[in-house]
Amino acid sequence: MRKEWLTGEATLFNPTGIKEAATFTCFHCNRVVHVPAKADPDKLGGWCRVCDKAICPQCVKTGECRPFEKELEKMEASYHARRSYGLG
Amino acid sequence: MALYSASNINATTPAQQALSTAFKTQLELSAATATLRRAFIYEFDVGADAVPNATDCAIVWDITAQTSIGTGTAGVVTTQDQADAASGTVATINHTSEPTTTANGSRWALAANQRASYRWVVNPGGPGELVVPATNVTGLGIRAKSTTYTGTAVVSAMFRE
Repeated sequence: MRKEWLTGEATLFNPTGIKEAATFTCFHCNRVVHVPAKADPDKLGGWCRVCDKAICPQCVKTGECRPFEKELEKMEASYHARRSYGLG
Repeated sequence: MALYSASNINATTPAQQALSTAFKTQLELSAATATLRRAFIYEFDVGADAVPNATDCAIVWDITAQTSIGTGTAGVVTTQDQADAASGTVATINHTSEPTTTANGSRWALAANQRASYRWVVNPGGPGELVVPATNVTGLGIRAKSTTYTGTAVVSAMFRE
């Protein structure tokens, strides 16, 4: 049964054949993580219990909840602040 | 929602650059101050378009966050529905001078045979899209490199605003 957190599909068209895998996008860092069939769940990342979303193995190691949306907001706010100072 | 597409061969004179051992940005999607908005990539496709090298080898592909535009050709962004307004996202293709990349900013990477091509897709509207921040000249670049393959590559991306 397809899981709802598997949001994407990846297809590799190789000379030897076609390989497909489901993917999810880490909610913390926006990285694409491939989930091949019969993959070891321990190597796929984890589930952030704060934001209730799937995260990649690198974000699991941080132990923090830093949703990508918050990082985007910080980035954009910083840019708007610099612009208001005339720093472009 | 408005859907758009861009590729590194969609320009009057694309000026594709041959791959080398260092990453070369094939397509960069970035925001611009005049039309500042986020872009959400829901599909991208990559592959080589020249004769394969006689020595079998791999091409390394990568999508990474970039904080400048670098030097490249202005790409054409096309609307999927002609009733939609023009895109506010800027496409720069086939760079001759690489943009500045964000440390540890890789969103996706793949090492594949030179004769392989790859497609990734999520539902337009998400969840799972790759996000281009609404910050001037900041964006995502699709890059490629190879130690042996010295031909050109084609990448395309489809996104919404």
